[in-house]
Amino acid sequence: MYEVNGMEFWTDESIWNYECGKLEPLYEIYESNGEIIIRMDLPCVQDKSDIKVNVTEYSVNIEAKMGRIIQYEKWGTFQRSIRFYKYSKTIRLPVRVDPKSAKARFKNGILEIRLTKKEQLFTIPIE
Amino acid sequence: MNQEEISIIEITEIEAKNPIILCGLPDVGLVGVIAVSHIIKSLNMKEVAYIDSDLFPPIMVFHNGTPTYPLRIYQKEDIFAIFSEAALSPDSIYPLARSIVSWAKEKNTSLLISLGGIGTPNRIDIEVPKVYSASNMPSVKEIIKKYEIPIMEEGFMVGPYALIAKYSIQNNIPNLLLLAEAFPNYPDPGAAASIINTLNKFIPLNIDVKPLIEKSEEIRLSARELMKRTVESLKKMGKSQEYEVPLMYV
Repeated sequence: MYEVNGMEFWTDESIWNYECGKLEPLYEIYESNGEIIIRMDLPCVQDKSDIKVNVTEYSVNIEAKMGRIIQYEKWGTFQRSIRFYKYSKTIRLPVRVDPKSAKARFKNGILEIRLTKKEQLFTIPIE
Repeated sequence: MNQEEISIIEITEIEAKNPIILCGLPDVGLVGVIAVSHIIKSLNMKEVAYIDSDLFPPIMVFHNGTPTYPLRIYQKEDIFAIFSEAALSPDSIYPLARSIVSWAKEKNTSLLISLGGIGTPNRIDIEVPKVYSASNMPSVKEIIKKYEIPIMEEGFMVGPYALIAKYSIQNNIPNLLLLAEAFPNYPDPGAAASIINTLNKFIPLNIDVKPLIEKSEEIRLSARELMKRTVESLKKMGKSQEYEVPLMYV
């Protein structure tokens, strides 16, 4: 990895795994009102039945099958025929969550997962 | 033409009378890049110039076996389109914006239009993104009013289009910002289609957005890397300030 004018030009975190036909989805994660919200862009995934979401207290794992195989005849500088057929991503959560509280919806190719934070709340008296 | 560290190299003789210049630089949802790319293809515009600088990443793009500059300018009659296939580093956007505005002035532009997006948290629930506008010139504000384009009343803008707006004021160039509600971190062809539909109202482009919508999934896939690098770069520019409220009039 190296930098030019503050920008990194090689990343170890490739979002294309051409050997396994797997893509890492673009995603965002943020906290709001006691919740962790994850949104993920899943183009070419047709139906919610093609998505599997597994949640623990510390992580979320997503596997999603594309509705069709995406084939690039001359992929990048490799110039090889490459096929992609699924997305896969495990996200380490910034705080503990209650897995039973998890809710997900899939709309226009975007997956949204909402998780309730599992935090103990203490109200302290002001002296 | 040279402006500090940026060079705009014209590869053919350019003739145009008071041209309209469309600017599609990598920003929120890659809205401008996707919109301008579709306009270039739809109008079969010809490449007439490229933009180069040592401040840009060491990248060339290969198209049909030919190495090509990532930042290029296309023309059809009196319409120019500026387009980038590579993310812009924070340091490069100041001289780049100055050069674009200076080049626009040299061409006697009638309107320099910046096409972009506004990061919208509930974009997932919006079927047809709204397009907002802003301009430095009363004559352009009349166009906005005539075609009932909602005005971005208050807020901050960060990034290359903010600088183009700033240098347009300094150079008395008519600049129009068209910003569609968009996913902040994902390529958004739907937002690009809204921008083109807005342009169609007051420029006789007659661009059909149906092919853009039909290819939406392929575009979202192919633009992932550019989106990822653009988000990294926008963070360094302080893009999150767009979610803050300006102090005046509070």
